[in-house]
Amino acid sequence: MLINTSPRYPNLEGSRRIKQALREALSLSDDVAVTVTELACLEEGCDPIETVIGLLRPDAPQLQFKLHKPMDAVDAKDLLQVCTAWGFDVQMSVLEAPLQED
Amino acid sequence: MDAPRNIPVTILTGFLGSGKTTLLNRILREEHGKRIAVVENEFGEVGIDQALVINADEEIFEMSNGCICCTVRGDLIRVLGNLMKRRDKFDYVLVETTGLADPGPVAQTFFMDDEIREEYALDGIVTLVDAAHIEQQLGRSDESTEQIAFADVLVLNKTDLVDGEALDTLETRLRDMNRMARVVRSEMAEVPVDTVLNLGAFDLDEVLGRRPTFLEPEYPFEWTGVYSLDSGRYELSLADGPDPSMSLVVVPDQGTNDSALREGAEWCVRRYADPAEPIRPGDQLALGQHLDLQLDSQGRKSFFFEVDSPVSVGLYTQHTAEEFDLQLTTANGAPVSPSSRPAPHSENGAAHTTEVVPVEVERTWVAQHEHDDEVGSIAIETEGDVDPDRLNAWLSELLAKHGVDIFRMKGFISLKGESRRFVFQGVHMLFDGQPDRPWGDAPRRNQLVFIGRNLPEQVMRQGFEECLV
Repeated sequence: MLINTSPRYPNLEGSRRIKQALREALSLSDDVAVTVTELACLEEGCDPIETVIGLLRPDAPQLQFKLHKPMDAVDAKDLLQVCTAWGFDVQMSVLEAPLQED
Repeated sequence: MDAPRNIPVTILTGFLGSGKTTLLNRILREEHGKRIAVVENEFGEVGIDQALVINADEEIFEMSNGCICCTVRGDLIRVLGNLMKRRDKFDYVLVETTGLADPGPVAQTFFMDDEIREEYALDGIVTLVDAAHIEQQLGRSDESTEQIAFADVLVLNKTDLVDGEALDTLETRLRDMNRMARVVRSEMAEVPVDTVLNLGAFDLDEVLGRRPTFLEPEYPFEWTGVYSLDSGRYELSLADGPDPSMSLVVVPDQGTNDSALREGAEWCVRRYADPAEPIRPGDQLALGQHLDLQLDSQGRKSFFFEVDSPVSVGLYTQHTAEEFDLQLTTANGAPVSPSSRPAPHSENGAAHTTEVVPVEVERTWVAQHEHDDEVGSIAIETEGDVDPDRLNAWLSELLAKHGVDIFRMKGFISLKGESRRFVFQGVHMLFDGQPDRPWGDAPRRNQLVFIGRNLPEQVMRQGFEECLV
């Protein structure tokens, strides 16, 4: 939905939760940025909301992955899929803990 | 914890040699009490004085998923993220782009990540324009066109190198491309700092307040005069003016209040769509027809028409009356209205019976320009509530089809069932909107502004109107 009157928008908590989980799981340094963006998908047949996760490292290729669900629905299994696609070997348990924190 | 207040960010763009670094240094030297962090590209033309300066590499990060394609500045995301940790050191951010940069990815960076959007607020985009070279640059590069289209403020710099008439022409061209931007002229990038910082440019109220004619439609005529006439013969005379011809429609039975004038204007727009009939001096003017007065001979030129009974007529002219010293007088001893006065000029020895008919009501319109550039602005303004579902569908289709060509959009919408104004802004396909203040007693209406390349204006207007409840 482009026209969103929900008070949960922008979803800072959801965004920080995912960033923190990835930072801890991938042991990222301060000069690496993780972006989490909910995008409205404009094509028929697509999920209406996608969550795009980016990994921006200095002097290394920028990586991104799209999850076809809203930010709040992203779970440890999804993030494991992201890490695997990016070529990192990560255990599910490392991702679960930060995601469950308030 | 969320930050107490967003840090304002100004993006400074402009082609090579337009004076960006001069302006930047001027801003940094001025006593404005702000601590400014500058993010500049590493190929800065001149060194930057005394500031927290971070060099960035202009890395482009593309987020494309087949449906949405947009790019952001990856380096800028990193820099802004790191700056958040030092936010006690500064209270304003200036991002300087390279001269060849498309401002899109920089602007989009502030829409892409919820945390960045929460910490920073894009205050405005300032584009420096080299008055002496912009014409060539516009012809050669898409980037310079886009830098103008994206701007909230256009600093027309190096005005000392160009004569006044050329500057006026250039300013008109820039305004045609981006009707939302404020144009400021300068030499040596010398502009007051408050014209470029803390603009609140994304506050539409402010933009509209500054340029009240912005949302006015454009008409193919510039002036209307309404004259109250008795039956008789009349002479319309014009002095030499800026054009060898001028088109005109005379509306019979024209009212004088605002709605009657608008109604007359709409009627005339349709007449103006017909081919104009050329009329030579001395000829009779047909009422209600699109005419083209031929004014290429020297001295005052007269045209004639007659009315059978007392009536008010409206003259809708391509240029203002002042430009041709337009006068309506009684002709050949016809009876005159009580308020008429003697004509100041003599015509064919009949001056003693010729009197000027005073204009009862006059008004000027926003004149339609020839839009040579592909880039232009579209403003939609309507009253009434909008159906959110229909609006979503319309916007989705619009952004999917034309998002690449939409540089900026902003506005507010009256959503059905929502007590607050829905305010939005966007860059290309990125759309950011949320409810802000309650409507209260204010009339509920919609104002949308788009700046883009070859946008289908009529289709967009119609599409939005179909969203109305």
